[in-house]
Amino acid sequence: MDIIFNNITGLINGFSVVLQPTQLVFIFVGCFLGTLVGVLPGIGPVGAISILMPITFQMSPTGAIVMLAGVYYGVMYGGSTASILVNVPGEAASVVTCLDGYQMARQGRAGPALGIAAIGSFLAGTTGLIGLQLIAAPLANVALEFGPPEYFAIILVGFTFIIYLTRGSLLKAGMMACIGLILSQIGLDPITSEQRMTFGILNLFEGIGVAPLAMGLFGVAEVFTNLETLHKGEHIKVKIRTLIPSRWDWMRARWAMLRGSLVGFFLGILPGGGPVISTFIAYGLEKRIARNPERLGKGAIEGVAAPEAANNAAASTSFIPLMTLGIPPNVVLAVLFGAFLIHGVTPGPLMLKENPDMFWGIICSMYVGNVMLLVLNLPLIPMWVQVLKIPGRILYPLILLFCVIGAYGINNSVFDVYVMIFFGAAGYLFRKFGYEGAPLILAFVLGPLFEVNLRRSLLMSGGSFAIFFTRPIALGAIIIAAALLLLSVYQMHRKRYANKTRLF
Amino acid sequence: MDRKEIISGGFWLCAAIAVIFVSLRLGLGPYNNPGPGFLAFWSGLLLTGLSGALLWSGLRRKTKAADLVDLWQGRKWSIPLMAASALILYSLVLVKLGYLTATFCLMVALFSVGKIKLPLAVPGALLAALFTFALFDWFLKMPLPRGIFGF
Repeated sequence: MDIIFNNITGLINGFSVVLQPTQLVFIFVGCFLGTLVGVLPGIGPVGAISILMPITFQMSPTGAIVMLAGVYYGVMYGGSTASILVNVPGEAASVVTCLDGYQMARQGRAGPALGIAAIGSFLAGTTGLIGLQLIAAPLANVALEFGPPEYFAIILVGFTFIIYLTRGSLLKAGMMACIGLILSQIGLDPITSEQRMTFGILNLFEGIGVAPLAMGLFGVAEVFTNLETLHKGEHIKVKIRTLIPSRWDWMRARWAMLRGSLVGFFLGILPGGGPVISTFIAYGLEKRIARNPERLGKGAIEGVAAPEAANNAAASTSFIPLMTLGIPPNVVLAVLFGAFLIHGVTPGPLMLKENPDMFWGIICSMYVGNVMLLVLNLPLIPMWVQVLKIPGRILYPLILLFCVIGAYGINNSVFDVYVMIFFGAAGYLFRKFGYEGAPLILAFVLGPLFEVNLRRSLLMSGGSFAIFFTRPIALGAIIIAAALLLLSVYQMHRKRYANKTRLF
Repeated sequence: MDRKEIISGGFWLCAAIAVIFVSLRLGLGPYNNPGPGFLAFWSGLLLTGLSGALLWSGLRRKTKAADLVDLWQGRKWSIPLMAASALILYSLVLVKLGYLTATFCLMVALFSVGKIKLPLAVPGALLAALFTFALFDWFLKMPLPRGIFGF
């Protein structure tokens, strides 16, 4: 009963915060910009949040976070539009939607595809929010009992998960995680305040900023890669007669939406999971349980409904580990974690007690944002179609300009611009050599927490690593991490034997 | 042999060894009170192992894997290179020339890199510089550098 009462009180509190006109404007701007970024192939949520982060410095912390959160789930909505209409995914979580969405558009059924994507996104996003609202507060209370060993072990699970779920080489993902950890060490030591790897450069005393790093790795590198080809995309002449799916479409899509929501719900919570992975799993599940699996990939509405529901549910529930444990489960939330810190708020178990307005405000802003996205985006689809026609040669220079302003605006320092350009070039080369940026940025953000909790645990135990094996939660997390690592190695070996021409 | 893996593996192996040396200089400390170089050392050691394994796999690969040239084949790699050079130059002159002048020059350069003709690139660049200045400096109160011209 207490949970329900606390939830209702929290929701009333949260809605009283977000229903103020300024907050509604921030939510709207976030959702609008998110959808725009989602529609435009290339930048994605990480780049968008990184670029917009400096703009939020003048805002209230709650306003800033609800806007950036709006960008995140707005991208999930918008990503499907480009996938369905031009077969170019607006962002990684919409790759799967291309398979059936574009086929539906070719068959003259772009309207129902866009409609089911929007409705599925809304329903799944709301389902995820209900979960977030019910789980977050009790979990935050449990997390108050956690000590450094538990935190260390949970972060370790996050690292192994991201390596386990990596799409490319396991070795390279591990290497990127190590590089991220090393980069996070630059600056003053968190315990002794000694300088580490600063090489006497004053700007490095506080370490490398997460925003220029993320903007470089994801924003600038993406633009550099796209500039190589100046990809125009395949523009089809879309005639959208109706956005409302037929009864037959509903019958086929409803269970797919439910399954997609459930997949997204659970994968969103897991460290290392998130919207991208959930879409692939949701689509795979549809293919596995379909009576005629050959229909999928040829314009089946389930192939649109399931992944779109999954990525939105995952986007909502991925806030659970961030707001209750202070652990960002995926790369987007890692950047958002940086935004929280910049605004003087530390996400974690104490957030509910110290910043209840913000805690509940974020949850309620997502309810409002989901409604806004559904109401606004369906009528705006013709406008997004026009946006898709902006040529890359105009768009990419503008994105670079916004990245430069964003990096400069963090500290009004050109040094951050240099850092961004450096990591932009590095990110471009990483892509060329088959390295993924996600493990690096996640390790970079989690690095300081990982280090502090490891060192504190060893201080507590007098130097004995047994402390991680004698506390049940830490032990459980370490067993999961070890199992994931073994599973990754097993899969790598299986792949190696299956395809002897390519070792890793 | 896979030159791509050999080059990247070799590069990270060298970087990892350098990190190990730096972390040893910082001090690892005893286990009951780890020092500032503790995590960097273990991360460097792990990176050494992983990059060594990548290097080894690149050396052992018998099939004709993708060559380094293939990474840029059929792609206009000079465009991102020019864009990066323009950005570096921009960062160097931003404070001295001021936001408007420097951004105007940057945008003309970037639009030209994208093969937009000068009669379109110049007004486009001017518009982009003025619009972003108005948005960030006036509206969002983010102080942008004024430079020697005062704007």
